Amino acid sequence: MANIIIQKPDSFGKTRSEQEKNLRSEGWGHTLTDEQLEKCKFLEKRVREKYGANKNFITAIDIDKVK
Amino acid sequence: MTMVTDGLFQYGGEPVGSVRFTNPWASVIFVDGDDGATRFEGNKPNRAKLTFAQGITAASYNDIIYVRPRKPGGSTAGDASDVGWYAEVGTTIPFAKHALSIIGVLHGGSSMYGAMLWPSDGCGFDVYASAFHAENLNVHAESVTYAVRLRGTAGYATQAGACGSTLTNCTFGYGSVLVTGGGDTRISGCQFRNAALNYDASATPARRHRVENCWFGANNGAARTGPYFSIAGSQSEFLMKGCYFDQPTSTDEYISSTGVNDGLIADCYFADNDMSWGTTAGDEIRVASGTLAVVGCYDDTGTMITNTG
Repeated sequence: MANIIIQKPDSFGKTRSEQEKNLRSEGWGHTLTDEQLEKCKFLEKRVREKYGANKNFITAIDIDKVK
Repeated sequence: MTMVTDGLFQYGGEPVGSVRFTNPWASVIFVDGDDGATRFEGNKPNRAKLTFAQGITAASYNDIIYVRPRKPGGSTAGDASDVGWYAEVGTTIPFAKHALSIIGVLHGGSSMYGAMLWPSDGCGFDVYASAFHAENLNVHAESVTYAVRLRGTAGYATQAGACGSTLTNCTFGYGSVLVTGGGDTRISGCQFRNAALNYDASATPARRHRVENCWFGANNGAARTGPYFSIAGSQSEFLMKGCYFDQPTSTDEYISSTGVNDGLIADCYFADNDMSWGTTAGDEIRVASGTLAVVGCYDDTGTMITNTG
């Protein structure tokens, strides 16, 4: 009997902050500073509240606009 | 209190800008030039593809590609202390791969020491797809003409890289970044190390391109040849703000605007002591025609540069 493993396309994370966390835990390094990561989480929360979009990706251009 | 400035909350408070509402089936692709392999699927960090080109081929529209920096000395031409690089022929982002993001992973420091592409031929990233995004990448274009080419033609039926694409926190060494036609691109927080930023709207009019907080450097202490920045119009609603320009070029020209261009260059610094603004070749800031205004910019004597045209 063969086992079929179905991997979801977003298994590495639905959002930039989730992916960032996984990149760090995999030892790959980082794409954001810790401060940018906090700002990213803030934006993801706003996007979720406004659009219900649980899967989104925020670029550093917009992250850096959070003051 | 946390506040969000323009770009995210505008037009009545809606979050806009380059937040990407990802395709539910979009995937994350990984590229690792040292521990990746051509035979891997690229869907996990430990099953990464080996090259930029393989990662782009494996990706679809809206996908995100993470690229790991190469180990020091990991390239064939590097010595043990050099940052390794991806030695490839230029990579193409096909028209169908709309909103593809390529994100360099950092191990500290700036993008200069991040994932570095050194194209041996063609163009670093030859972008036909709209809404392309590059972040934290280093493109060393010493061997080619273009580090990045955001293409656009009339109608944008086959080339739309100049529409809505964004480059942020990238380093470009030598060559140039060329944006042809299009609109709504944003280049932010990038270093141009003896590399030019050129907009060509002579065949296809362009509008609403933005350049923010970029650093334009000379040729390792020597004057670079040709302007740091040029626009061939017609281009409208162009905005450049908060940029640093290094020592004068071989012809003194920092900025060359030809054709009819409208917009604003604001809050920039120029490391020169006799900045001039004029309409002819050789003026440090040359605006041949149109209303490309220069506001709040200074030279290294602290003198504000004044539009005299």
